[in-house]
Amino acid sequence: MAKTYNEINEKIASGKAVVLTAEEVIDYVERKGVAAAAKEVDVVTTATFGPMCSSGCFLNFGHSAPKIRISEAWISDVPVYCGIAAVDVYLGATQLRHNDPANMYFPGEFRYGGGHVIEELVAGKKLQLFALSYGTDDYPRREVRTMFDINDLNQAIMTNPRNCYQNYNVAVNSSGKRIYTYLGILEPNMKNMTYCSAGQLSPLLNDPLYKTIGVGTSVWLAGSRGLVYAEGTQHCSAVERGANDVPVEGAGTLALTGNMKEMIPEFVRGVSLPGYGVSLALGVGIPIPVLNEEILRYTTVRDRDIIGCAIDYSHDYPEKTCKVLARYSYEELRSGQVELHGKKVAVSAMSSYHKALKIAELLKSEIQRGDFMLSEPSRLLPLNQSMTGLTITGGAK
Amino acid sequence: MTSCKKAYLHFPKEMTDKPFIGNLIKEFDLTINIFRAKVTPGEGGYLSIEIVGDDEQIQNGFTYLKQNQVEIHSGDVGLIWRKEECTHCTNCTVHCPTGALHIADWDTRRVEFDESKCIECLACLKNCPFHVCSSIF
Repeated sequence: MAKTYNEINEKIASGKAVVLTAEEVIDYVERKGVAAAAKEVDVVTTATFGPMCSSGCFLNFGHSAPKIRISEAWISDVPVYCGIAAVDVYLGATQLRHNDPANMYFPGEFRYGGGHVIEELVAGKKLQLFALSYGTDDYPRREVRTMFDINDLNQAIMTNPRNCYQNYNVAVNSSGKRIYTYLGILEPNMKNMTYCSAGQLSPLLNDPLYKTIGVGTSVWLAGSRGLVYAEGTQHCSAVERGANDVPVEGAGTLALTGNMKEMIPEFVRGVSLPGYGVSLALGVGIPIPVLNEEILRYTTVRDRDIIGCAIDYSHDYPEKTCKVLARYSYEELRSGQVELHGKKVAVSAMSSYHKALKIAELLKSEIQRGDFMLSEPSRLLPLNQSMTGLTITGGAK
Repeated sequence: MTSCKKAYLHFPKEMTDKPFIGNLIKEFDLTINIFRAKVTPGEGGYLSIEIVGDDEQIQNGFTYLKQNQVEIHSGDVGLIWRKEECTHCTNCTVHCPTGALHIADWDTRRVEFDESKCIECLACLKNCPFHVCSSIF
């Protein structure tokens, strides 16, 4: 029996919705069967927590007297983008602090950058704005130096072009020297391996063909009522998928937005990756409405049925050879050790299953309390979309 | 009774030229395993150690150090793991050679720090993306 978004929202509003996390639903459906469970369960909560580099925020500072049309600005010495209206700026998660030596003394430490500024903003800390302008008739001020916190801003809108990668590479290093990557430090001779996915809890792994998660879907973005505003950048749905429709590589992505003033600091964390750079780790929860049996069946995906591809980050990843060294299920990866070319390799994660579980539970209780309503997507995400590479043609003649 | 105790010591700048560790071994019959030290003449410094020996002799050794203005942080290692800031990503666990940082609950992937296993190699300092670990010195 099919349900509609309206019917589910009415149950949520009356406090009668049956909500399970994407972990709980697995055993529940196994016990009850799909048909019976689809009638009983209204919503499945999915979640993830991990570094998501394509994140950032639009900030509006309000106008000083006299006014300034900011042309260059730094927040706590981290440059922000000013090529928009007078006192609007965009701060990106991977922006380095001014004068950060980067990898000049390899490996760079990257102790502070855009992601850390965003963490401190959400945590309510006072930060310094330094802004310059060339001065105009209507905006005569040429310089601002002031302290502010998030409450002083008119808007602080997190706007992330790419979050929640459906699946992700598993990184390993077959070379003879240590390498520094966005998946952490990889010791030589395949000593360790890292992955970055919440597996069976992860939003797009529970809705592999984007039947409910689309443009306009309400999401829990670090505690705020956010939404999917577009397909994410590099959304590439036309990839190899298993019999359960779950992709074995990156595949779908989501562009998310949310009000930073509503966010919980625990789920907005600056990231330092030695030798690589800075980033931002975010917690995202997405509710999946159980509209029918098919949608419910997708949410019962288990770690053992989700495959990740091990890629050599010392050669195959940077050179884009597309070579896969081995495939593992997330159950194998989460066991902490796998075998590669006859050798035992220690495995760890860059994403936090612990925090993802906490988010799935938090979202579940918000829905049970009637505090979080679902929204029907206004547009579905493209299902057969590929991705192109960059052809280098040289500059203008 | 024989015990094994971890401690880190702080030396005031006046005491940086005294052979305290040698004396602990010779005078108090203690076995000292030095994890890490940073002692600069004229500036003071720190020393992280594990002490094995008779309980009474350890106490006598501590009394001797205190009489010489050495600050003793008994039972502590010179490494701080800020539990409330840990995101439990588990990235540190494969880099920690002794299992001090480990997954305490495999169902919820909760990370814990077992101070008694820490040898202060500081691998966690550079591997934690969230700067959860820091060193006293």
